[in-house]
Amino acid sequence: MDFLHFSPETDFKLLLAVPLIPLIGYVVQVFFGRFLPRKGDWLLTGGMGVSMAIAVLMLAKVLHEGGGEHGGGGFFQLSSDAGLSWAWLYQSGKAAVSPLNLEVGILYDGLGAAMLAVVGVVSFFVHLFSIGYMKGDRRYHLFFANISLFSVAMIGLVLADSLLVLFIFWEIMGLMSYLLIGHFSHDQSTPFFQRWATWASKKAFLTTRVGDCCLLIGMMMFWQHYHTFEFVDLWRLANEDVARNGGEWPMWMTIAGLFIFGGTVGKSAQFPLHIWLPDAMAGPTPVSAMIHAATMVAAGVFLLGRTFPILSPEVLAVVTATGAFTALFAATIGVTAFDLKAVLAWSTISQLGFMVAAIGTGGIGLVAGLFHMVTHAFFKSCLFLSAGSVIHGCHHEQDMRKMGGLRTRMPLTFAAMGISTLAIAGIPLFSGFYSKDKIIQAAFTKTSLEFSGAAVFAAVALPIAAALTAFYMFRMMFMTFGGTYRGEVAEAHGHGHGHDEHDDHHDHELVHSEDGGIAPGHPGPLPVESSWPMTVSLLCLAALGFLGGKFWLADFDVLAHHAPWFVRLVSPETLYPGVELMNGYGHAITHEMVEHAEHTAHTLALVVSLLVAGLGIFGAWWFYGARKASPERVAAALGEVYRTVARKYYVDEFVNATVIRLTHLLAHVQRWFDENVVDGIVVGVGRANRSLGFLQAWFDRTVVDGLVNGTAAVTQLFGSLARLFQTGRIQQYVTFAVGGGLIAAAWLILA
Amino acid sequence: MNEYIGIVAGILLAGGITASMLILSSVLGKKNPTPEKLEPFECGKEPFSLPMGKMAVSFYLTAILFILFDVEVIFLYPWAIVYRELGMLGLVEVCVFVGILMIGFVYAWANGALEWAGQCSTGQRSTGQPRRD
Amino acid sequence: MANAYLNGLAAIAPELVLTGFALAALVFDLATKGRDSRRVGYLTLVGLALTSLLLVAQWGEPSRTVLGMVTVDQFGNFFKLFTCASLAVVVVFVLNDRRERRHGIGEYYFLLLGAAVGVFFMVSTNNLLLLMLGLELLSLASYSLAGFHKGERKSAEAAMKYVVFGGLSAGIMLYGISLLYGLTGTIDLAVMATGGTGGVPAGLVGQVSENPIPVAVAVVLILAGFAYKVSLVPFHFWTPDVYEGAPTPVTTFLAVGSKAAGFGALLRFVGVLFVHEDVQEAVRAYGERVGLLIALLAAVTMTVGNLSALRQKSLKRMLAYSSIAHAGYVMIGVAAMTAGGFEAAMYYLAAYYFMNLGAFGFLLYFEGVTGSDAIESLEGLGWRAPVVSIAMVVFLVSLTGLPPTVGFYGKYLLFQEGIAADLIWLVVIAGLNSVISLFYYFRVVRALFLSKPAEREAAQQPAFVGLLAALGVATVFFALFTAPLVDWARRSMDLLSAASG
Repeated sequence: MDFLHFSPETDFKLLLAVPLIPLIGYVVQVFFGRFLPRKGDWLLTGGMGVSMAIAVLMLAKVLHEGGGEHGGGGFFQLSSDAGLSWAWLYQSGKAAVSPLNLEVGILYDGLGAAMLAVVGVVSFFVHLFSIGYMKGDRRYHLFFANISLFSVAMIGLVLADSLLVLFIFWEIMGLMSYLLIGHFSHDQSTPFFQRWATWASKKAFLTTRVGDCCLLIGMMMFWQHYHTFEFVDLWRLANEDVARNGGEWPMWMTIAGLFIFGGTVGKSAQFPLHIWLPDAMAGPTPVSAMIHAATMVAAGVFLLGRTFPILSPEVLAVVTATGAFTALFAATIGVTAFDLKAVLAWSTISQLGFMVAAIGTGGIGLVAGLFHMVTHAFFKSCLFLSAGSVIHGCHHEQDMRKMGGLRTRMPLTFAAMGISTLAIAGIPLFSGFYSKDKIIQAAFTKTSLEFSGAAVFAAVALPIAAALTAFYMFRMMFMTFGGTYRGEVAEAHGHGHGHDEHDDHHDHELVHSEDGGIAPGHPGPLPVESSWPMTVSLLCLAALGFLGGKFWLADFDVLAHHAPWFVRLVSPETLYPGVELMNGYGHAITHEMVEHAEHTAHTLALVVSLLVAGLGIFGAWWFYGARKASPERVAAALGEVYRTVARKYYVDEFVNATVIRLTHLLAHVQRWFDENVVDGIVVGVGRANRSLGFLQAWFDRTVVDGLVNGTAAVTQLFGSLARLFQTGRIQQYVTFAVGGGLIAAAWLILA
Repeated sequence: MNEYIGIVAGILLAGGITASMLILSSVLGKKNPTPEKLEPFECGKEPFSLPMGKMAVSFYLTAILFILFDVEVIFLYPWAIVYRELGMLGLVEVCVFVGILMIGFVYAWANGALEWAGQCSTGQRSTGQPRRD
Repeated sequence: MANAYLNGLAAIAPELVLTGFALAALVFDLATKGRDSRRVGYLTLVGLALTSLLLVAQWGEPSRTVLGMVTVDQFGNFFKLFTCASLAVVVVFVLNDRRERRHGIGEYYFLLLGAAVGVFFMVSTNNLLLLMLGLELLSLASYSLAGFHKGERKSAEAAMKYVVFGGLSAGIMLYGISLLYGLTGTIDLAVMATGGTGGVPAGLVGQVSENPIPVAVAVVLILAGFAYKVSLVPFHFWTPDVYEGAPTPVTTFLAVGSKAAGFGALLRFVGVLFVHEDVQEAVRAYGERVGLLIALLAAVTMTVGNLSALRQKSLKRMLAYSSIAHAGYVMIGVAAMTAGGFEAAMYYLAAYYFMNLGAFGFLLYFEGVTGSDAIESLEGLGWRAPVVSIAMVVFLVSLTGLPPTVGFYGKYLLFQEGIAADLIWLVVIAGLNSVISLFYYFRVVRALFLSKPAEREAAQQPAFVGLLAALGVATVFFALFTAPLVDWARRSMDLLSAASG
């Protein structure tokens, strides 16, 4: 197995190829895409395929090198250690005082390897899927270019070895998400989509910008203290600082940590900045798959993984609480959604809440959260692509109430979506089970060791959210695939929602309509199975969703006695080698106590997660499968409560009434100030400038250029050399020069 | 003091002879003045004229060439004095020096700078411009 | 002795080779009777390449003084390589000048190489006399070059003005040098700066307190000589006229090669005399005052340059004024009177190399197309020749000092060093000037792209277009990868360390 040996000299260069290939593809595609045969889709898909192959090969190497049987194999490589980094900005001058030498390198460890492979695989299949799904789009080539760069951004983010580089790719990703969500904003054939896409992309961009700002502030605070962006240095310096401080985390570090977490809140759609994600489905479905699975939202969680050692216990408590709240909050909304994609969107937010909450608990929770990010990427991408396939089949209908019975009409899609639903619901053998089980275990462990508010909240909220997840996911399955096709039958909607409401959206209004703004479809023939690029992608991703938790059949066991591959690859020790983590439990809690607690929680969590999954599925079957009870009546009975949930707890309305209104007010004030004060100054300066310029030009023309040479015409008409000299022009020049010299000398003498 | 007596004698002799020639010719000579004769002699050039009057540019060219080579050749005098001390190295150096001068000379020649007639006929030409384009 | 002599010759091998090639170019031109002067151009390029190779071979050698007056150090080599590189581009410009004849212009290359020899000696000596000789050699060649098209009135006029102004400035400078020599008894800058204690009379240290007026006059007179070469106000009057009248490749050389050489000599003069680490305290203190004078000159220069450029209709004349303004910016680094400031100035010169060569190359290209240098005549040509025009936009962005270009990073370094040297007022003025410059630079962009596509077809000159595109790429590249140029500038600071002199 010599080829599985990781050698820094060659393999870092190979790693560099992973983002580089799609990047080159992007450049080619943007400029020449429309001239290429098939508008260049094969180029980018092929390129992404090569990138994926490299990423997977590298993951195999890492597993070979570091995936020891019981964790702690410890694979951690920095390209700068191998002398392969790249001096990017070099500050000259007072180098000793402020070392602003920014170097760019690659950090490649178990987490990075797993994530890189995930990004590669998911993006490749999304590319492949898009060949079928986006056929006939008028900006087909640009779509491929953008989605490729989107992947590049995530790949770069995963490989970044410093906060700054991470931030750069983070921002590129933000921009690409804007462009991709707004992909239809140029499509004038469907005015609804055009308006929705324009507005949703803006909403996503602005909302995540709030988080980005926070992240930037947090970064700068750390930089101010440690003068470095390198993860390795930050981990070491911060923890050494705290250790010197006797385990006390300084105030500024908590504040900075909160700001960094703010970045995650924005990007990973945590409450209260989650509002952009449900609307992000205005973009084409493959984009949603990318955003919800491998790129955008994973970036926030990944950031937490990278910055975990510099987050103080207080920050981690906030992280846990926010995550657990988001998980529960989003799950309840998911239950009420009727738009197929909206259900998935809310489930993403909920699952992200799981991940964030788990990371907040530290220890095995950190691993579990990151693990869930990986497995979630597989099944959520598959779910979204399946949803795309369904929507494609149902003539762009997204309302689940107009679907049904697709089980037989689209068997492959049904199989893929079914497997993924089982995975997300946490059924044993499927990947989601292993990670979600671990998350609940982590919450229980934390609670038993440290009876804090956040931990208890997580321990209670997460199982409930898990049950709700199983419920609404199976609700979706039953509504979509069960029963009979309701597509062309015009059903009366209980409450008069519709797309008309979108028509009067003002530009500034970030509130979406009542129940997720279900895009209008159009009637057509009965749905049929999608074309092969779509189904192949679906099935491959479904297979990963199934197997992703236990990678190798060799150590396949149902009850997870052996640690899953990811857990062997990633542990707090191997993630941050050589760093004495100071944000864990206090001194009072020994290693043995932690192990004991973990063991107890393991059994409990297994039981609880099986129980809640079963409960959720049973509930879904009761209401929607067997229709033993009418969900509409339950909703009616709940009355105002149901309406509040269905309107997403009025968060959008709240934001609209406060933040947006306030911003507008400020903008008006600003505009007044700008028009009356700033413009006045600018115009004044401009006028002064102009008159100075005129003065100078006049001086130049009349005095300096002399009488005759002021115009070139005169010199050309009359200028023999001798005559030219007689004009006195040169003498004048000389006079000025000598005069100036005299003034200079006088100044030097007198000053 | 003795060594300077020769110089003093030379000055006296030269001054005396010149003075006696001028005096003798003015006393003995037959005077038939014309305006041209009364003008000071200035190498064939008009002594008084408007400062920017036209003049053949060839004068300047020849003068510049003369000064160039004249000044450069002056360098050969100090070299000749310490010729033996400098030895082979000095010889090589001066050969390089003269060689460079020769290139300049050949260049001037090839460009017709030494041909008076050609200069006059083509008017404004100078070394900067080869005549064969 | 002979051995030391031969070692000295070996150390100035680049100069010797360059001289050899200059003569060879002349002889070759004579031998081929002026037919197809392009071949002379190729020979020149070979000579420049060979010289550059020899210079690069001296990379990392410690600084030393040979033959009693030539100082071979990394600082000098920076400017020598700079000169070679800019000349190479200028030669390519000449080869691609569509308005230039193909035959009988062999002297063009000879004169360019001769100017380069002058630059080489001028930037690598502490001996004021040799410095003066180098400067004069450069000037004489430049005069001839400016008047190369003497059939054209503008060209002839340019040459004549240049000669008169240059002669005056050379005289002034020589007078200053003789004053300094009279005061200190030496023409070696290092001795002037460091001597003067322990019974050694040769030094400036006593004179600055005893004879302040003659010292001030001498310094100002010498600075005036440099000011003329790098066209600082009020010694800039020749610049627009000469730049406009001279053939465009020559203008390019004057604006880039000759100007950088002037800065090289100026930096050496100021550096060795006032900033070097061995300099006497009193002299260093005096240098601070000189720095303030330079800062004043810088402020006036950039303001006058930019304001005058505002109303220019000719692109060539506009670039001339812009080069005056840029000299002002570089002077911020000189005025800082610190190693960091010098580094920044040198980085900026390197940046200036890319963006100004590019801008003049663009000018040359479009003179070939339109036969005019008026900004109006560019209208809509951006659509006809997109590569060159986009490159030009990059150059203009860089000249304005906006990211992501070398011009931005260069200005950033200069401003930083200016602030570090307590010249905040100067930095503020420079910042305002950068804003002003935006107006006239972007007039060109507007003419190129914001009007309808022109009727006229662009010229097919793939090699030339490629060169411009490469310069454009470099303009951005070296802003993203700043380390090489910054490192190079830093290496060149052996000028100021104890080992030199």
